[in-house]
Amino acid sequence: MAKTSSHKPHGASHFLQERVSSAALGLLAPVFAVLLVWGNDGSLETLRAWLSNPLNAWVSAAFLFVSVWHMMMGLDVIIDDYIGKPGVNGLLKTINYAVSIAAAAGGLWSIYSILTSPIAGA
Amino acid sequence: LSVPPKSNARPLSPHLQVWRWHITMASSIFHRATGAALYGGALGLAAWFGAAAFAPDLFAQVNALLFSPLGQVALYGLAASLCYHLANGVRHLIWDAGHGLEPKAANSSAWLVIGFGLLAPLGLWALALAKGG
Repeated sequence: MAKTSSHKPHGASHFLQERVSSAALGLLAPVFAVLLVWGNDGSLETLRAWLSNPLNAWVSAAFLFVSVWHMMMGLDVIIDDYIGKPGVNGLLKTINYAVSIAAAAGGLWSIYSILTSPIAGA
Repeated sequence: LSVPPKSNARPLSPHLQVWRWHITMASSIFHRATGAALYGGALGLAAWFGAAAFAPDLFAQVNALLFSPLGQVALYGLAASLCYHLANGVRHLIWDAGHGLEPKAANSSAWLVIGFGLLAPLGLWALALAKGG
């Protein structure tokens, strides 16, 4: 018998969150990719000008936020699949949450910062 | 207290070495692999926005790298991961609705999403070239 690990099984809420975030990303990812490629030429000035347009800023922020939410759940499942030891399992998940939250917070803060002052260094 | 023996010679789950690779299996493995790659991609995107906002010198260095041949190959890999994971995600949502689960349909849709993942990024590059970027 395998030792019962301490992690909670994923329930209906997790299932629904995965589906809702998938459906949202199914729309956000292509829109983000096309807007980004169409509106940029690789320069910092152009990217900052692009992000100072509220539509682009909102699409970028939504895409980043939902991506991070989705990937945090995804890595949780991967950790559960491969790491049975409760201590290591919990530690890796804590790192997953910390990294994800830091990426979302940092990314959104950066987008907000450019949206409110598009000229670099201003 | 007795310690259970480490291995009791019973077979474990079907082992990788005795499985013939088939396309639905590959499509499932690719979904997880591209998902893991996109985790890195999302962190990179957040860091890229961060550099654009707060570290212009770093941004210039990173972009020089991204537009180098090696960087373009890496970006293609990331874009292909995104396109594949997206298409296969839609495939999963269709399965969740109870459609396309027959082996024949699942095989065809596996090839379809793999083809989409490999080709759709070329559309993004075409878009960049079309606008002269």
